Amino acid sequence: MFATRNVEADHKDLIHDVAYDFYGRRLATCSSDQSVKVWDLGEDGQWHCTASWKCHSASVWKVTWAHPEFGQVLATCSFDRTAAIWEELPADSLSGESNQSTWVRRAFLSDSRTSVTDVKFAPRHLGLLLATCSVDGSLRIYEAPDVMTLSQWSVQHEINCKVSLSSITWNPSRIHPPMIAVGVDDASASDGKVILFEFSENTRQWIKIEVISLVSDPVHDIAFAPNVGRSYHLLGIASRDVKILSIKPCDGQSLSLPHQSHQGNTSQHAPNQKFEIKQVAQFNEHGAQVWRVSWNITGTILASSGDDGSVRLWKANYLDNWKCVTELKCQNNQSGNSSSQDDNKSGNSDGKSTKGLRNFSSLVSPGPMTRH
Amino acid sequence: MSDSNKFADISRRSIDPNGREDVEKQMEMIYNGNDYTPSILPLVMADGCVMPIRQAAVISLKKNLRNLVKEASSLFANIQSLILDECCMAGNEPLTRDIVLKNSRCYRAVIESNMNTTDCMETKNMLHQINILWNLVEILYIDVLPAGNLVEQLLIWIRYHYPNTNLEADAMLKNNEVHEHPSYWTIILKFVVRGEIKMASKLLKLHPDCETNENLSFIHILMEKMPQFTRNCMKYEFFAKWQAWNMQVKTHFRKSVFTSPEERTILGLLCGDFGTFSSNKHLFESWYHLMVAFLHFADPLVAEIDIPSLAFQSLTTYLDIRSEEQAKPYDRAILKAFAYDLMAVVQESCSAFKDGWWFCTHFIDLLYHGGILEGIEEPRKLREFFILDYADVLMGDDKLWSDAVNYYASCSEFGLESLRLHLESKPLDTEETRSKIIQICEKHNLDDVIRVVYIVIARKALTENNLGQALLMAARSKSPVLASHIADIYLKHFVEKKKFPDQKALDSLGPLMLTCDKLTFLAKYNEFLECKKRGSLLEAGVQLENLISSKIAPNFFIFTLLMDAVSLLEAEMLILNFEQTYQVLVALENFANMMNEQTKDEDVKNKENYLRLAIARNMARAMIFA
Repeated sequence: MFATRNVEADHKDLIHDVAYDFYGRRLATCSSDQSVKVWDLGEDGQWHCTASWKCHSASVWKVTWAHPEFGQVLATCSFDRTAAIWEELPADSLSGESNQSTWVRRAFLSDSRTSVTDVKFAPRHLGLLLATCSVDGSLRIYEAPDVMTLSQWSVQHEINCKVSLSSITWNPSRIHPPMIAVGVDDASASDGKVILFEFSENTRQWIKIEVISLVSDPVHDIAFAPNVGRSYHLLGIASRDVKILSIKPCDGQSLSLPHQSHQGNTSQHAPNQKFEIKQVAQFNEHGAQVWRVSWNITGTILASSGDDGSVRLWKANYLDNWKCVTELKCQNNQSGNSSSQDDNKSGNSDGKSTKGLRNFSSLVSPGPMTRH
Repeated sequence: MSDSNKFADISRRSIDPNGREDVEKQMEMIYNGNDYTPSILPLVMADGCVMPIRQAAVISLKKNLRNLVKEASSLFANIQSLILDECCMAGNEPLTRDIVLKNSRCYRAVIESNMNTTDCMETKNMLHQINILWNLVEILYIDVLPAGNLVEQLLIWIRYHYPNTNLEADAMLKNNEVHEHPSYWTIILKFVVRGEIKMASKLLKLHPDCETNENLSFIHILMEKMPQFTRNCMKYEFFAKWQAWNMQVKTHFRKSVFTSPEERTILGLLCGDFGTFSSNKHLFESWYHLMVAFLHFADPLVAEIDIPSLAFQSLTTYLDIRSEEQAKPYDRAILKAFAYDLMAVVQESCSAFKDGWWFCTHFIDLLYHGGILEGIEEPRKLREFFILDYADVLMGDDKLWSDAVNYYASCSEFGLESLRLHLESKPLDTEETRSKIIQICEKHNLDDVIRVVYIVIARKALTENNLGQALLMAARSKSPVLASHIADIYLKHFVEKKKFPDQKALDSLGPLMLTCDKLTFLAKYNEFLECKKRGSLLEAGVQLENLISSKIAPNFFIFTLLMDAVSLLEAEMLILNFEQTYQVLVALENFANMMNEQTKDEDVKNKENYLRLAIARNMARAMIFA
């Protein structure tokens, strides 16, 4: 059981991304109309547009929120080869009683020579870091040394992967070394389509630790699950199908790995391999390209959206067998562009393929989840 | 629109003050109908329900399930603490059966009290079913008595949960001529199938023909003579007696000399003739009642191994179905319980009860601690899995979320991290929420979350220009960057307006001033102003000297600090001694070097000159006094 609610976004072109803020009370949307809109959940339970501004000179691909401890901060990236950092001005600087807020650009990151396809803030325990990736295969890590002004961003690391990148995700685990996974959407590349990087404290460098060959189709989105203390990391991947990989660091005493459903084979064993990577689930239920994946707060439910116009929720039983627990079909037929509000409130998103849609609907209230 | 959607819509509109009255009427209508809880529960329990809708739904759920959740929560916590105590004493021993049984009964008492207080039929029915199932699995898994006692236990189970017959009998006995009452025979038969043979026989005695009619009096004697199994019976002795009695009844039944159809039915029941049982379904409350009654008369010492097939037979016969798939999940759960298939019970009850997995969570936890889940794969994981999901359900509720904490705390593997993630993402809207979160974090040593909570509040206060709150929260967050930033705002404000934005907040800083250098400076400067105001000039002098010589004053503030020296230098009495005066002079020289001559405006130049003069005079005065 679920209810859909449409929000008339009034973007003048295709919406590419929908992002919930940390608490799920604010939404940001970005579009090919070069603008970003911010929505606030009013006391009436409706989403109200409180800001809308042109932020790039081409399609805006992604929008993402920084952790609230850094203030109300957004990052965007665009076909115009740049990424930008935006901050909301304090309310008192506004004139009059209007409920519109003002966002100002604090920084403009113009290091890329091609379209910037994704932008993601690091988990907050790493400080104010930002990763971007672009079509020419560059992965850049920026740092803001002064978290109070947000105007200085320096490129800390730059890695060239030499294949077109579509998506980035930071591993949120606080007890493991920093880790980033990037998705490759270069159909011509023959290697695996997910690349893993880990930060080495010794050399102060990001090191490519694995090109995951388990994933061979172009990847559209990628997301690490929050880690609640598992000995392994879970990585959700949106590609031709939905995949879930487990990535287990091999060093230290190996904790007994919980029963995995061995649907996939263990990846090739490179010498000195630090990680044991397995595919724990693969789902073709969408029967079409899958565009976005997103986890709930504790990493127990994965939401995915695909070209079939539906959002599906996946959950594992206690023996780690993953299954579809809910399918949310968009009731509004004109809209294949749907975003799901799963309980982590982080943005899940929209089928990119549907042309010219100017509204997005928010799917709410997935039904009682059956087990086993 | 489906019921749930309709309800979601009504719930949402009920928050809107304008349409509220209208909506409340609609709600009342639904509430009185039978489908209230099924429509509201998925709404409340569903993870992704938009918050205000869920809020509204929970408000109406309040009277129905909130108490259940609260009471169970404290019981749950109590069991966890028992484990800790027991473990310390005897290693990782499971709890004894007695303790498990006691707690199982406590849970059922909670269910019952809520069942009796709720006025929603649907909730009542659900709780009733949960209670029946819980009691059954308690008999089968926890309160396991020596062979032979099971049927007696099951009879008590049936009688306990379906007490209506006694009430009916009481009502009937108020009449004269009882035997002419329309339900006289039915009630006798009901007592028979409830295993209350004494009651049946007493009622039969009231029939005027009981003495005279040969048949009736014989049936009465048979009833009186029926052997009863009790806990201190010798099993074989009882069986011999029972067999003899059963033969007697059977012989009589086969003779088929009856003066009324009721006599035939009674005898058929007494001798355990399945045909009689299945053709009198109206006497039974349910298929499992039929089964238990049949066992009582046909095979009172039944072996556990024979029960599943009989249960299946009773289910299909009573409900007139061919396979168990046609039965409802609740019936299947009971069936699986009789088959001792605990995992299947869990599975069926998940779909049978819309209770947010309340039943499974608490029951599995209890069995786990009693060491009763041995036969199941990964019992520890099973337990955590249910507890975490249940806790997630509570966490999504605006009122019940703090009750989820105990549940997370009881899961050693993923509990604390899950709790951390949930607490972090709670919107910090009200003071109440904030203090609750901080209290929970302090209890569970989640210092990191506390820090973030304070930073976020400070940030928010900053955007709202509530500087006092921002200052205090930044100090509590122990974040030097944020605290310095706000201390700077305070000092700049002072340079401009000669006063602080929120004096009270500053005064209440206390030891928190040590968060960062700037904040320490700010607080010390505030103390200096205090002294000066009080007139303790000597003390103020010492403090000023410390402030100047510590060199932690921000550059934009040094001039203000130097100007503060003037009044002390010019005081009637000698306040600053030679050494202190010299410090002021050094600071002034540094300041002058730092400032470019051109950037100084007239005002600064005048003030600087005035200060130099004061320094010179005071130095002279100090030398003389020295």
